[in-house]
Amino acid sequence: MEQEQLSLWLAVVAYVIAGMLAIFGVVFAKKYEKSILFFMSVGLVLHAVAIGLRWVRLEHGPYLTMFEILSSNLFTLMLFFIFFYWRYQPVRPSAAVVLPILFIMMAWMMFTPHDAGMIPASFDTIWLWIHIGFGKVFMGAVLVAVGMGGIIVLRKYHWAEKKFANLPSNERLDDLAFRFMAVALIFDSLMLIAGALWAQDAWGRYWGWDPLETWAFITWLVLVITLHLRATFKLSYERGAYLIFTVFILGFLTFYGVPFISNAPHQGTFG
Amino acid sequence: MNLSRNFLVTYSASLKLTLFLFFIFGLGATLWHFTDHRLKDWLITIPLLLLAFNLMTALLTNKIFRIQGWLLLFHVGLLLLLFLIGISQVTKLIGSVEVTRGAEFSTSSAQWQQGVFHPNRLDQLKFKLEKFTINYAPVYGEVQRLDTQAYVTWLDEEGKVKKGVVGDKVPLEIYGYKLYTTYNKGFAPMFNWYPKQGLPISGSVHFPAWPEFELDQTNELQIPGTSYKVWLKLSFFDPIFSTTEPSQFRAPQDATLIVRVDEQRYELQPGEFVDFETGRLEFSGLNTWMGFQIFYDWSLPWILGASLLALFGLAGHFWRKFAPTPWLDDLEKKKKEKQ
Repeated sequence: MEQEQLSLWLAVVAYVIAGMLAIFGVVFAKKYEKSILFFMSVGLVLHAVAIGLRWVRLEHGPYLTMFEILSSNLFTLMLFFIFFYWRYQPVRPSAAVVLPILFIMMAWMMFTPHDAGMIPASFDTIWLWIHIGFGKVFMGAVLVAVGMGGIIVLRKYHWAEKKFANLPSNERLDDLAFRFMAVALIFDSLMLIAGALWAQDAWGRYWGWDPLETWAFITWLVLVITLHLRATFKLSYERGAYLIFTVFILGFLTFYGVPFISNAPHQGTFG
Repeated sequence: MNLSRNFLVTYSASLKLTLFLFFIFGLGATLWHFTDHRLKDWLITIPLLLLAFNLMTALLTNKIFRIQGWLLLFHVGLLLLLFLIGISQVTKLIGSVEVTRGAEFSTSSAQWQQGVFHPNRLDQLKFKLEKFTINYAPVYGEVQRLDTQAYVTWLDEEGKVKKGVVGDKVPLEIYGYKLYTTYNKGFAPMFNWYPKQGLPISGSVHFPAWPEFELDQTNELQIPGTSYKVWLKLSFFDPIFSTTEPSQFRAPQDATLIVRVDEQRYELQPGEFVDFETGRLEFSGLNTWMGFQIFYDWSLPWILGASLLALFGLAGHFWRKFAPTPWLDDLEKKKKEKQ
């Protein structure tokens, strides 16, 4: 338990150092890219250790309590971002936007009770893993898009325009951001399909418009509208960025808000 | 002819209309959630029908679908999906039933909603709930529900008697109907009615689900063939579940059945009775009941197939659309400029 906590705290410290370096890099026009990648990777390894230790201790994966969901989503979002940070150079400056967003999740995670939960019988299915996996890729892709959208929006401020001057043009960032949104749509759709298969198995209906399903559907619909708007109208880069933020906020609320305030079967309760 | 074709292309097949309908669809789904009006399903159905029309006319008139095969595949998949969802709505059945332990399934205790073209065969379902177990265990200080098993005997479509265990993710399947166990279960006092004239009748009354409605363990019994209506309440102190070791859902051992007939109040134990002018009502014992979800939808595998087809088309479309990597060209340019 202590090792678990220590690993988690060290992981958060490493992530925070990476985030601070990303912000300083933008503010002082320095290139800390290798250091940022190093600290993010170290944080990810330590985070994996913390999750693994808890998994062994509780004999179930990190998908039951708010703490576990925050922790595992933070892990996968970091994994997703690190991969694209490593592979795609244009993504790198967005670390100054993405990592501070993840700081909020980190703080929330650390202040959330770390108590254990129990697995409802309906959670014992491979579709749960597939459903969750697709959901994490969806959020990861939107997060990367948010990073690029964030740069587009910040650029309208005089002080930031200079800081981000060396980065790709808004046109390029917008194009790349919407590629990630396209990936997000594919995986969000797959998440809904896998979720429907799970729901059919678990509760005898593939779609029941319970609060979580309704919000997941609204998130999906807003994502579709976002992509459709971009295909139909010549959206300004800024408006495109705001639409990306909207999808992210909706996705975030659906993932971390609705399951914990509704009494729907998704929670696996009812006594 | 040209006018009508222009109308079709300009309005009914327009992408702007699609966006508007998406918005209406989202609004409908949100409102659906907050209303109990009997016509609320139209909040979703109407936008879906309009979207299907919009999509169909777009497929017929928009030239882009003849150029971009992946996009065509995606939209054909979507149209197929909408069509199948429509077919599903008019042919499916979804419902619930409470079955007393040791009793047979009866449509009289079932509630369901079915599409207008659903060939209802619920009355042909013959199955008996022999017994059921719902395991509980204290987990980190709280008693939690674990797995459920329902031991059932049923007649298959060839009339053969079958026995098996269903529960949680394993439904009982007869005539295409799937019966899933649910978290709903409760207590069921058993009665014998001995009329002064005629044959005795046995039956049970289901109290509301427990523990969900543990503070409302009441119900009414209309004695068959009479005008007598009695009010029932179950009173017990047995905690049912252990907070220190694994336990199972069961009837309480210290239960008293409170029966009220007009102003008269009786407290009955198993074997005790209340006399009426025309007969005797005996409380024969306390049983349990389990709730099942009934589901019938032949279109499910096809809906899944159409969803995957649409998604495959969308993925192919994005793959083709996003094949160019202009930012790499930019990086190359910058490198050359530096050199």
